[in-house]
Amino acid sequence: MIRLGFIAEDMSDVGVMREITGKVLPAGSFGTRHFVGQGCGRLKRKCRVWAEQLLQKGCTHIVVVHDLDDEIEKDLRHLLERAMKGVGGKGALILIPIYEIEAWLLTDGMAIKEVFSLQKEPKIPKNPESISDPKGSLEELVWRAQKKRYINTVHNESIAAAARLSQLEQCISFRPYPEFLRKALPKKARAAGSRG
Amino acid sequence: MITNIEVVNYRTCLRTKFAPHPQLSVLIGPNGSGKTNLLHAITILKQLSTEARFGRGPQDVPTVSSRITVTFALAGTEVRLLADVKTFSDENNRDVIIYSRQRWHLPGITPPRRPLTIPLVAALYAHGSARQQALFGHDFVYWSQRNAMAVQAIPREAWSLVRSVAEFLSQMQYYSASQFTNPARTAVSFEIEEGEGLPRRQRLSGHSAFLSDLYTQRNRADSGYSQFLDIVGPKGLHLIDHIEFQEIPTSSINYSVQVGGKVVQQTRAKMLIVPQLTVGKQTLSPNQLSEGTFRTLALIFYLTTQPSTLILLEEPEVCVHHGLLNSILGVVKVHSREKQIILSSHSEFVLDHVAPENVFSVSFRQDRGTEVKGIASSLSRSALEALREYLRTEGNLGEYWRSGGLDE
Repeated sequence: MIRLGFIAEDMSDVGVMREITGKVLPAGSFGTRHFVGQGCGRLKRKCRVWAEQLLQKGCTHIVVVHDLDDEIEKDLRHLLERAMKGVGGKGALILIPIYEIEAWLLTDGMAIKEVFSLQKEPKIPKNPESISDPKGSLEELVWRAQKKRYINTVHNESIAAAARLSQLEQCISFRPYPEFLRKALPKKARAAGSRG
Repeated sequence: MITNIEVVNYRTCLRTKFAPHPQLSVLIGPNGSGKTNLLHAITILKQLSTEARFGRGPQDVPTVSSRITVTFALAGTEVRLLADVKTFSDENNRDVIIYSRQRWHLPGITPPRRPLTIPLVAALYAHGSARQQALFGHDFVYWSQRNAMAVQAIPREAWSLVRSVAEFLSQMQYYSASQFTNPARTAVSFEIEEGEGLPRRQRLSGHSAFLSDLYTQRNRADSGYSQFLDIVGPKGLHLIDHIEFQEIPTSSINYSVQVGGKVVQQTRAKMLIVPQLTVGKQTLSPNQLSEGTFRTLALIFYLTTQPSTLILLEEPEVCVHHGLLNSILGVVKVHSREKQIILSSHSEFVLDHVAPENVFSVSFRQDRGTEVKGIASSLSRSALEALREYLRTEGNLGEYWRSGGLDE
């Protein structure tokens, strides 16, 4: 059993991560716990102690999710890696969605169509990670499609649940996550997965 | 939208100035500092736009004379209203206006020191139908007869500007902290009379009014209701799975006796409406919902479906789990781009989700009364940059507040 500890900015990010995890790992093979910063400042300051807490609570792997926003990726990664250095556990991953986690959700028009019961699949941007305001872009896309209202704290989890892994993997900042999860699987389970 | 407001001599507001954010303003401050009083003062403006009070009312109650000066931004034009009101508080602590005068500074129309008197209701209905005018009948006739000459002299552009403000104010919505709490009080059904077109809502208030509004909105079949369901339904917050309204036709018979003894029988067609909410496998009456769920449903319904331009919201955190509060704040923030929203809060969590420029600190001093300071505007440029850096790297606005960072 893999026990994942998420450290994220808010609960909707945790919800997205849980849904995506279920697409990679077999049902019942993982459990999750979390800490949320309700903003990025607190996440940065607290991520080490939260990671330690999560390990104490039985988590085997830690995943830190921090939107890039208007920061410099190299600097942000360096800062988070430094904070997480020597934390322990079986593995840790730092994910920095570019520029926001909503860029991942913008990759799957079918998922958006399903969640908002749109009549047709909305036209999604070719490279969501090049959009500096993916949240705003998603909001506009849903509104333009059928005058429906997208609210990130309400709908992100449902879009993630409906999204296809192959679409999400279009985002460079997302790709390390499925790989990390597969590696985290015990060898037996991995072999069973590859046979299946 | 309101760009500036000054409240003089209203409860704790001795001379309170407030320049709200164009989108979202969050008022924070200790109990008794005057947050609610400031919001109540703003709601008086709505009363002025929907009720006509021109010098009538009881003479034997203790009254207070207040002045509310408001600057509105209307498509690039700044309009200033000076509203003098005489009020008393009724047994429910509601303001009853017994006299009011509304004067206007209108750019390019009124000379700088000579404001023009136009009641808000007059602007709304003066060019309306006879039926609309009859809505405030005697008051309008009284005012327009007394000011017949002055009314003739008011330029058409002035009417138009004042009407825009009156429309803005009449659509204002106010939700108190206690509104929609204790759903156990909710009736399991309500009755409507068959009117022309849509069923006419009877005089309902509070929880039942919400259910009636929900029913009416569903029957309208516009996008507002489906947006509401998108948010609260299974693909959104999943507070409920489904809402159904059972409609049971009923009737009542009234008898009246005319002169000469003729008895007239009147049959009125009515409908008993029974709201039912499906949550998982359970079908519940509204009074079986939890307090937080009921309040969240009501707040989200009104935020998403009503055409209001200004929303005053007191303590959205009351009865609500922080996970749900996060979602309510998401709804508030999205709607604040189209509607000006002013909310008061005691919650650090709320502060964590807004920027410093949205936060206003409210304080009270015996000699000065209630004072409001914008957090961002009261800091120097370097102090504000230091705060932003703190929020980027160290902590949240809520804990900064709790730790005394926003205290004087």
